[in-house]
Amino acid sequence: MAYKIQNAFTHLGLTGFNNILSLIAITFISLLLNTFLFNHNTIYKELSFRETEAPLVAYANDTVVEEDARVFANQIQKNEHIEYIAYISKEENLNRAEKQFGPLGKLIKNGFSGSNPFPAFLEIYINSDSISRKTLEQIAFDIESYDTIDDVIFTGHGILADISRETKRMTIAGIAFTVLFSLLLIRTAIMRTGQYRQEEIHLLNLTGATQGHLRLPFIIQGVFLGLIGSLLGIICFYLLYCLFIFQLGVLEFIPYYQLIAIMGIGVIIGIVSGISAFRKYAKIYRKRLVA
Amino acid sequence: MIQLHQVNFSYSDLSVLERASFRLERGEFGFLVGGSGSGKTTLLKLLYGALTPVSGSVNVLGQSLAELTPSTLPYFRRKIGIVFQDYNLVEYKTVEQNLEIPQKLIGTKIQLLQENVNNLLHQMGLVHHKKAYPSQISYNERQRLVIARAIINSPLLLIADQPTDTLDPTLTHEMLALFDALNFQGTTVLVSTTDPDLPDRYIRAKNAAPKRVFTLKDGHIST
Repeated sequence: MAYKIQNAFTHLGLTGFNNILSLIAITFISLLLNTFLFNHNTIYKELSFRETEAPLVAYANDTVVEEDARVFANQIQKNEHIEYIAYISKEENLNRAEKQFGPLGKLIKNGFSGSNPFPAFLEIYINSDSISRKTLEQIAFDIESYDTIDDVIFTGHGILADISRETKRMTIAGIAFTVLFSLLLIRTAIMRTGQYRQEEIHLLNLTGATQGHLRLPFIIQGVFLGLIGSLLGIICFYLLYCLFIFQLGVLEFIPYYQLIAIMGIGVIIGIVSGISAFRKYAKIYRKRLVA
Repeated sequence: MIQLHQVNFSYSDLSVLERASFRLERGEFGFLVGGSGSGKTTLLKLLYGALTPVSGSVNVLGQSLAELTPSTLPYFRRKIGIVFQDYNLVEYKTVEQNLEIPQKLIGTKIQLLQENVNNLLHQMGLVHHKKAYPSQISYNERQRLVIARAIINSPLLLIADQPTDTLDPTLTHEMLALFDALNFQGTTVLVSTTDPDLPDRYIRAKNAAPKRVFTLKDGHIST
């Protein structure tokens, strides 16, 4: 076994420059994946902070009384995408302002006790995870067309949910790209080493090396490139994170379980690439390997 | 020990062996003589399973080669020492490292491995080149290294494909004497050569024991 491992590392060292180039490329890809994940995590976290927030707020005009607003709310709730609607009266809105402004709140409330300028509004809760930005805009547009409504605004939640969906898609696409590109890259690097070592592999084959013995260096090279490449990507991303920490503010680094997952993916890609490269090698040099 | 029976082999349309048969008993020393391109290397490759005959049977070390599977073939080959015609040395490994390969393959303990390697390097006169690369030593030394690598695992059968064809007469006899010594210890030896007079010349020069001589011509083997 010791020889098999030693042989595997010799295999790795033989095409050092080729491996370094591959490592740089894999590091860059891993860095890209880290960026996608960081972006996704940040948006997802922000979204979870605003989870209780209604994606849409429809401001009623001042002529609408509570009774009419509730009837109107029941009417628009028929839309399949709307989960529920909360009616916030002018008084409740004023009370919220009091709370929101802290020490000045009392002053505001007393000041506006005669004529309350705060409008009544409807908080419209939508299953925003399942609908697109376009559908959300259409709902807002439909609601705004009623005379009883002055304005409809998107809160951060709606926008964030939308961005979150986009980021999720991009992250999934990014992972797929990373996996495929890394596989291809590592496989090519291993194949090159295999070609360089073909005389030795041929000799080992003729002097009694088993297929497992011949295959192991390919797999170890794959694991090495996959693991070290992903690790270097994480390190580079962490350095960039530290460099821009003041600009990024309170944004948290990628959680450790995701980092472990990235390295795990690197190892799996390495193993798959190694096996795949050996198969390809065996296909090209079948006569020699069978011989 | 080695038995070929009615073996046919061809490369596409080119027939190399036609109903070739011969038998070499355990502990015997045989020469396989044939002109250039007569099929000697092909025949030897059939013996260690690098090629499969179109028809006929090949039995080596009591093993029918047709029954070998990809998983059992490596273990069969470990019992055979092969001196390749084209050396097959690993150019980026030193003389010592090249010699270590077969020993490491069978999992020899490091201390014993070093002892075996050093003994053989001394025996072959390569000890001063142990850290050199194959490209840094002479053809003669390369040949000796290939032989050392073939015998380091004390094989039951030694197959040498034209090992003496590039050597001068003195070195040729030295090398055959080495094979003879191995044969004396019990290893069956089969040496191929293009020189039909080599067996007789060697036996006369070294007063060696008679050898079996097989002649390969037009795909047929005669004794």
